[in-house]
Amino acid sequence: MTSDATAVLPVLQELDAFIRSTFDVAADDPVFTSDVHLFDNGYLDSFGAQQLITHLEATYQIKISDNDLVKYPLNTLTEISKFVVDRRRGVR
Amino acid sequence: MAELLLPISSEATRKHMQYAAWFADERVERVELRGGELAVGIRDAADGADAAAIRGKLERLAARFARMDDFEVREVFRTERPGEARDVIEPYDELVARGWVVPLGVGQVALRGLALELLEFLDDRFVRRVAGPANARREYYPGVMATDRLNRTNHFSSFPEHVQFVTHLREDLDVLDQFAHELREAGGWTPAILGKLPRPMASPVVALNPAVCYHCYASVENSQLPGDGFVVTARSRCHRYEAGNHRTLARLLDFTMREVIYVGRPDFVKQERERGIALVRAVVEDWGLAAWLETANDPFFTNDFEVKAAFQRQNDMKYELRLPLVSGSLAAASSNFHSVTFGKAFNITSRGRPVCTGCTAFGLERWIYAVFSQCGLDPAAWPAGLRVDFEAWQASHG
Repeated sequence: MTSDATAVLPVLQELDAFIRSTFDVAADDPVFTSDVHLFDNGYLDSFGAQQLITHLEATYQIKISDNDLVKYPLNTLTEISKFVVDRRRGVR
Repeated sequence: MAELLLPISSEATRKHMQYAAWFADERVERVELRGGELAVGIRDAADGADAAAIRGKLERLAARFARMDDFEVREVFRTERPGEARDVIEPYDELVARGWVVPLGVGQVALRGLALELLEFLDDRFVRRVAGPANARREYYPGVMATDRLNRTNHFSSFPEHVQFVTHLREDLDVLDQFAHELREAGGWTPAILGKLPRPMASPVVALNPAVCYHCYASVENSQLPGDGFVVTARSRCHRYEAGNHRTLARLLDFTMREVIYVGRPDFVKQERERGIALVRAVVEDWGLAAWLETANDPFFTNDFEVKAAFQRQNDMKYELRLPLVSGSLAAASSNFHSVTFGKAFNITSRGRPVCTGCTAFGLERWIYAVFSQCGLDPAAWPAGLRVDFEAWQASHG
């Protein structure tokens, strides 16, 4: 079983809001979508990544290991949201 | 001298600890790999409690780098030497014997003769062939940086072990007179003199440059870029304290770095960086050097090493160009994408967003060492591409 759209959507919305507010993304930024590569497009750097992980662990009560960062693509809001849902279900 | 043996199962962690263990304690005197163990020689370990404390520090450090085997190394390109190439040599002793390299202290050298010519040749070619096609503007930067600016780069928190602060005697006639008096009494400088003075040194407000590109970002702080971005090139002395790891020309305390620096919109920086990689590849191919470009990470020293390093690798934020030596290889250049770290740190924006930055960096003394290692000390016997290019440079530089 993997993440479905219904479960992913609220996580995606919450993450969208977190990243917009924490990393100063303008509301009308045309590039910022749920599938934009957050690092390639300059929304997050390695320091921002740390903040994001801390937020995910605290908000969703999950543990993200260094191995996860290497193993799973966690570059877009969609990828991160799916990972969060799967991890909460114990799938990944 | 006591010896501590640390079993470390991960090969990558063992290798990294061979470097990092030198920073665990001032009394570390020797670090070597012995099978699956790290052997650390300790001087003046007065009793078992001291040795236990040092072991504790080493174990803490090893835990920081415990997952390095998980990091996948991806090769971007590889170049080979010509079929008739001579054997790779270890050139350092001969360079010293010829007087082209003069050791002046730990991690400090004087260069003369062919070694100095080679440094200037390499730098000229990197400027012409890598910076030139990007229309890079040439700039000049100081050898020190204000500590408050360096703080904004996260350098202190990421690489505290490398920092070299610069300070001076306080502006206080009593301190200055007492310093001069103690100096006369001691018959010259000894480190013990400072211990005889009450609070003699000012708190450091500058530190030696650890990298060239920080100055570029500082020079345009609080600005909005009009276009997609710009490219700068500069050469500067850089300084990194690396404890017992300084050796030959491969790891100097004080070295010369040429950087090509990209500042602007994400696509602009990524495209310029990609072009830089292709240009570097063309240079090493033309010169007949063996090299490969691979994914890498900065050696973050702090507890968050693995998170930062994993993200750097996952996102191809750092590549190193490695040139093989007699034993192992040397990272002589790097290609970096910093995302918005420095754009945010220095409030540089483009169309309302913090700019991205990147750079291609060349450690010139490492290049000298790699060229002599792979090609020998006689330019007449160098691979044709390198020889012809070097001779052309010599002819145009008198």
